[in-house]
Amino acid sequence: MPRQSHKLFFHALLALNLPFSHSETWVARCSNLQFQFDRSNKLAYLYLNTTIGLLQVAQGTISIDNGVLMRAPMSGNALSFNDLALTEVELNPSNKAVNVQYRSPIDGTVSSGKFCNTVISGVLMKSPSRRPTRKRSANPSRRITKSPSKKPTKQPIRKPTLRPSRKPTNKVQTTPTMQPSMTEISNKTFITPGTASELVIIPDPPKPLTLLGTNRTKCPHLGNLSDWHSSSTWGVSANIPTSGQNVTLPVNTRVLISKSINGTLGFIIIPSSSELVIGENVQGIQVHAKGFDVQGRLTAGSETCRIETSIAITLYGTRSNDVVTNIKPPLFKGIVVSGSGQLDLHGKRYFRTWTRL
Amino acid sequence: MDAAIAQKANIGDSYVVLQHPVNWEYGQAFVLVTTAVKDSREWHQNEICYVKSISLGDSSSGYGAIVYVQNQIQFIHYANKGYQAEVGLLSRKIMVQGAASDSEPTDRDPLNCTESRWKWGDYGTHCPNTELTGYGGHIIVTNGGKGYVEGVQLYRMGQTNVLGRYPFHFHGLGNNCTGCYLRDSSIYRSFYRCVSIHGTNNLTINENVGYDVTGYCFYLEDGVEENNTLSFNLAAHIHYLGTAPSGNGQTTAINVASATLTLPADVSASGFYITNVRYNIIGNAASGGWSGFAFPSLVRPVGLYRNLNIRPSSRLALIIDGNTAHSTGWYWYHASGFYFGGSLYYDPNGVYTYNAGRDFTFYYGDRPTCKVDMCSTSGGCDDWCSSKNQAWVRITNSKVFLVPSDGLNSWSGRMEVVGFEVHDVGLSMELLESGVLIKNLLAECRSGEIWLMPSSCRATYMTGNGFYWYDTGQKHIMTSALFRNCGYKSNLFNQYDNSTDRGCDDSPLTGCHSSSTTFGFLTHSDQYTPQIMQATNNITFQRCGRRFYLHDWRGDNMNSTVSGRTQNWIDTDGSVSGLGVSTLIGSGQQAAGHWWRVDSQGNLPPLIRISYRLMMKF
Repeated sequence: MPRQSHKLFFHALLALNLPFSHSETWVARCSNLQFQFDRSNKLAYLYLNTTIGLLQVAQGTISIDNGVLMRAPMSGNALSFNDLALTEVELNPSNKAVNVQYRSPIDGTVSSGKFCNTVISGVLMKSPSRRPTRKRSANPSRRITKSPSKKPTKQPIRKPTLRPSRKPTNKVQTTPTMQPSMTEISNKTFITPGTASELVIIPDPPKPLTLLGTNRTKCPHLGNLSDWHSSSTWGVSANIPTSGQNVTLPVNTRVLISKSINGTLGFIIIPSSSELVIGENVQGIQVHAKGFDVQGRLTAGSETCRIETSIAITLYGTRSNDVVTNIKPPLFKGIVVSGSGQLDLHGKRYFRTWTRL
Repeated sequence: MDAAIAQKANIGDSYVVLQHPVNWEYGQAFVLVTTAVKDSREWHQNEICYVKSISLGDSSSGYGAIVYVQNQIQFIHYANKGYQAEVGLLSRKIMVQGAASDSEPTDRDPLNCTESRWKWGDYGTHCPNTELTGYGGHIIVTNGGKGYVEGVQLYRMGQTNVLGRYPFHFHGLGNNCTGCYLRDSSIYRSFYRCVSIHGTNNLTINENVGYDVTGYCFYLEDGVEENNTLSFNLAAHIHYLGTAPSGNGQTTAINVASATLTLPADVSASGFYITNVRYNIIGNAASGGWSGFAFPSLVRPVGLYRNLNIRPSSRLALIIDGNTAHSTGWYWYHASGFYFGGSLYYDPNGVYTYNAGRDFTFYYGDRPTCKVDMCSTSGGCDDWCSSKNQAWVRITNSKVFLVPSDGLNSWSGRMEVVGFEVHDVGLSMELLESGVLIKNLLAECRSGEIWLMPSSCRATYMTGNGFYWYDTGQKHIMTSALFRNCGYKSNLFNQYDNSTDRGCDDSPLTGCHSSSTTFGFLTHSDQYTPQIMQATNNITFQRCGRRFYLHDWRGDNMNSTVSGRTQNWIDTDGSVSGLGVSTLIGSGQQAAGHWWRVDSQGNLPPLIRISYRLMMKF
């Protein structure tokens, strides 16, 4: 019986208690392993909790789901745990058990047993909408047999636009008229993460929990803050900072920028007792400045509240001819975080940030 | 080559097929990374695309996502069973950028320069002394500050040759920024690096995309930084400063710091600059650059920390696993996807110096990895590490493709390369120094894909070599290796395989140089007769051309030396000789005499069958 003695961990992760409905995912944790059984997509995942986050190490298709227990054969990237390869995992919330089948690496025999006792919780997760399965047509595959006849252009044709030309929709449009292209890739072989290398094992980045349906919490811009755009923030005799001005935030104050600031500010100094928070705005928020001296905090979003509308901070300053030998102070065209300063920038989580064809 | 891989991007396509699902959005920019062999500012095949729509795959579709793009694909980007182009998202919701009006260099490269050096048929180069005035914004966390940054696009950041002014700089924080991070961000069009880890430990740099970068991208500044994690980062299209180091032998020009080259090592700028291997380096990808992953030797720290009493080059790795490199190693025969070479030091006059090539002082370039920190012993950093304390730098699950030079090169030896896969390279590994374990190697010298490169280049200018044995005392062990389509295809060398698709031929698109061999020997071996120099076990050949080649560097008019006759290698299971029993493979030249007789009675070494005729013949 492997791993019975494991210290148990349970993290409340939007846990809903029984009874389970069919739209949720069962989550169980044994030591540094996390099992997730996605009922609607009939997929089971096994993650390893590492210092850099959750690392998916195995996957399977749920073979039994009778509402009382679920079972899935597992396969994955060289999954082994004390040299025992898991072949099947069963989650049984009624007796709080994770049961497994495992294979001896020595003689290949398969044994079964309890992996650990743990609370198994049902978690509501956004599941990707399933697309209808398309019939593949038998079009001949396209291939290019010659080397390119065109000389490459030297630079990307377009620079990225600095601001979105459209209001952010957050949702990618799905365009049914695109479907005919599918004929071009049908009847071809797909490279999958499991077949992308012949010999070596290239690890996958851990799938972020924030994509698993966590609601946003602790949004710094939703607190009780002073309004940058209100003269009351800047004292009795002062005005809202305008183009060209250096700005020092009032002490002991949290100031919110909630919309774009016209013009280019000078240096923005955030005292150690203060915080400058940039919020969300569907129009986007632009801040132009020569530099930021962050002795307090400069914040946009938090780990649990990733910013979902665009923010652009643009820094200004001209290169002097002797700059290599006569380096400007870091504040020049920079964001300088020092002393008790803290920089928190948390933009929307994209996953993956990169992958392969 | 696979006949039809769905993910291969072709010219004119309006979509790309990705292995994984992505939650990218309409209008976002991403880079489709090159799969050409050359990647340089004046000639490259990276391209920027804009998302039009996305169709996610499901468990039955075989793909992660189809991303339809607003533009048409301009170049072929390969996806085959050995390797696939990376696709990296550049846009983010939060952007920090240098202003368009005052950040771009004013001395733009006209992109039309050539030089006299021949590189695989190509003479194109960066125009000298251009693109030195980029002056973007920068972020620095210093003097007690903390930085937690994720989901941010750093655009037009970094200031060329200005020390300390990088897109993101963790500066001198020691252990006081533990838990700080830069992650799932992008660094796009940087004028100086991507992120510098400087005098700071315990950071996480994770899932970032660096594209179009001058100078080293992921950068460990002074060699004292340790215990940081660099994971799942992509670095592509990296531009060196000055003149890319090259040379005919094992050495290159020496570079020193100047007003146009603040860090002399930037002449060989690469995606990753690992001055101290005491890191977790996991799942990263490098494309372009002088090399992909550069591991220079620092006999002492440099810069601010130059007086700290450590020897970075004797440190041991934490985990270096699952990293890939491609479209690099163009500028020099000995550059490579993973380059354990180059030495950075202050010369006796205090001149900040970088030697990109092999360091024949054998001091600055050495990597005396040691379980004991010799710097804390009375003998000091340069004291001898006793053999019982010697240790190896282990790298696992690495992959290199589309490199005309070496998959991996180490001028310093003492490594364990476990799990190494190469496709479309000039040579799988170059290991001139002693003591390397090579375990689980797949060397596919030619995959059959057309090598994408400038039109004057020919695949037949590049070798398709499997592995070369070099000098005396090499002491390598190679176990479980598969060689595929290595070695020149010729009727002179069909003794082991006469299939029509073996090796590589004279095709300018997919072939190799006529000297190419699966295993090669140099004639530098004049010690240890007949002590065994190296050993192999469980070697497999798939469709290989020439299997053996004794590369006689003496030339035709020189006297024979003992060199070349004493090269000896124990093929423990006869899987290389093809005899199926332990075989001693060595020179059978007439001049060699019967060197393999171990005593005056003419006895053969026990349990070893001599197959010298193999060498006589080939």
